[in-house]
Amino acid sequence: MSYDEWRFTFGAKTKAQIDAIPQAYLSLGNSVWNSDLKKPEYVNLYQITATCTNGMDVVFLVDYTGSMGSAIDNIKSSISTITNKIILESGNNYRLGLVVFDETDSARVSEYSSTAEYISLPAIQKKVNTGIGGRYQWITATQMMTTNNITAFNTQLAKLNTATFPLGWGAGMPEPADMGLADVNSGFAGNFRTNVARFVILITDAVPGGNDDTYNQTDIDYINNILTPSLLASNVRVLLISTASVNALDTMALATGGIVSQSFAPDAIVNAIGSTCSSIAGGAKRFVNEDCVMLVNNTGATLSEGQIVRISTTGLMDGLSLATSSNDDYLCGVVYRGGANQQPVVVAIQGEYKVKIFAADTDLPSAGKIIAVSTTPGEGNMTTSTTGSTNIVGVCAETLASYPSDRLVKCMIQNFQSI
Amino acid sequence: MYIETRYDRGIKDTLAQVKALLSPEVGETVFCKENGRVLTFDGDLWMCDDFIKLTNGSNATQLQGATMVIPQGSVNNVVVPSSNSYDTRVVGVNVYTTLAGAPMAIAYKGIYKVKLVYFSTPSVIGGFIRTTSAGGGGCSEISSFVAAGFFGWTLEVPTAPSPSLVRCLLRGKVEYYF
Repeated sequence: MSYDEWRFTFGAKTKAQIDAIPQAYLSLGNSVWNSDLKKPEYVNLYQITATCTNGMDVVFLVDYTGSMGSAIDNIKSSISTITNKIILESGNNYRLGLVVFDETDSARVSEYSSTAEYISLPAIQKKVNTGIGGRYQWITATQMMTTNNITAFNTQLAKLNTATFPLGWGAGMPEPADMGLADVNSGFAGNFRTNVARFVILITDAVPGGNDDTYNQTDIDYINNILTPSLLASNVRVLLISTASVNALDTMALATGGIVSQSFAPDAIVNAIGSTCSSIAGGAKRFVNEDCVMLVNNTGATLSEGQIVRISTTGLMDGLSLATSSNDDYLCGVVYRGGANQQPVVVAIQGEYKVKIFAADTDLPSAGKIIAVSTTPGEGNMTTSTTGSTNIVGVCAETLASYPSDRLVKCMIQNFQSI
Repeated sequence: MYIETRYDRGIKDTLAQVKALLSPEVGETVFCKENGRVLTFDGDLWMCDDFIKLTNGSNATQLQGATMVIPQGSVNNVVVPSSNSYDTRVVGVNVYTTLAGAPMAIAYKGIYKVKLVYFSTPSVIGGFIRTTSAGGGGCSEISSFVAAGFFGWTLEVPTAPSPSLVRCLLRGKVEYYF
């Protein structure tokens, strides 16, 4: 083969352009010329262990306000289609939870609050949050997740939108879906199992309103900066079934590896489950070059470019933790392509790569300075020094007049030394 | 327009399958799923940037995963299976089954299978691997401290009794002082 015949699958691209290529376009062995690194990169495949076939924990989180009646009835009438899909995908290893949410004002309580069904639920499954502006958020787990609980789940689902458990109230248009998600992620319908695929199927027709019945920048910031990272840390995928206008929940669902469907049709939910399971089973594909290896984020949070990582000793195969201490014999590299918790990340173990400077470091980096791990817990970032250190990562390769906004500095990664 | 990258010998699941390819020509390529690298045939071996090529200086065939060291006072470009504890002359691990006196590909960085002969049961993920006196190119895993002869970390728990091929991250160019 002559040089002229060589072709990179995706041609020449910057790192940002490479990282923007959708997973669906990637196949094992595909190539690209990384014009930032001036190196070829190739698609590697990492098979994630917690696929749907390992088991599924699924919580249905349902907007239980007046406008949702027909949607709920529609799902009730076809629930077997949905649950059969879960049973099939999970190999009959599943747990189902059912959580509803609504909102009242100071003039009333939720419609179902006086029913025998609600009263009989354990207190731990009932939450009424006193919000802002005389709003109250009602979040109720009518079915906790237990092993292969299809019968119990169907029984509880059948009670929705009936006299046994009538629809709740929706004070204003926004509803507290975001609060419900946070509660489910915290174990409100039971703690998710380890090593199974975790899902929340959120069904709503409203934008999220937090605890004040208003959808504004505060809610967007909360969903983007707190809720989404916590879902990622738990490896919970959100399948958003919503007829509301596009909002922060859409971004959140996609960020968790879930999908967004704007149809309440049961087939839409079935398809959402199927496509997400297929996506997980297909493994995660990443471009990797020969300075790098693919390992798994086991930090409990999202890893991003430039963070210094160490081999995790907590028992996850190929796991990574953040470097946090001096004299660390487990330091192994610097993140080049980050990823969510429990997802593969690409780690540079040698070569010239960007390292993130410790946020409190006031010593401007300059070429030749030694870089070492910041000892601030959880940072995983570097600090600079003109002298040696007990936890050397490498050497600065550039001199900066001021910090870049992302605090990423080009360094020669080498010789993770323990002196 | 996207086009498929063409590897002369396609995509193979394992390095053993790559090794078994018949009649390769110099410069031919193959993508190996086991290490995620593009390998190029150099006339003797399928090589990538994780490997260096030396000669099997032992009088026996060496299998995949054997820890290889440069013997002191030996002839040029020769490696032998490690047989001493704390041997800091470790180069890396043998990639392919290699006959005595034949060229050998030695992985010195990246993720590769390593032959462990001493490890606790169950082994520790993130254990330090180092040379040992067990012979046969086996190495040992220590869970608690780095020692001379260290060259990587275990990434999985062995599934078979000792000796066992274990997935490890090999750290190239480590310099330790004790």
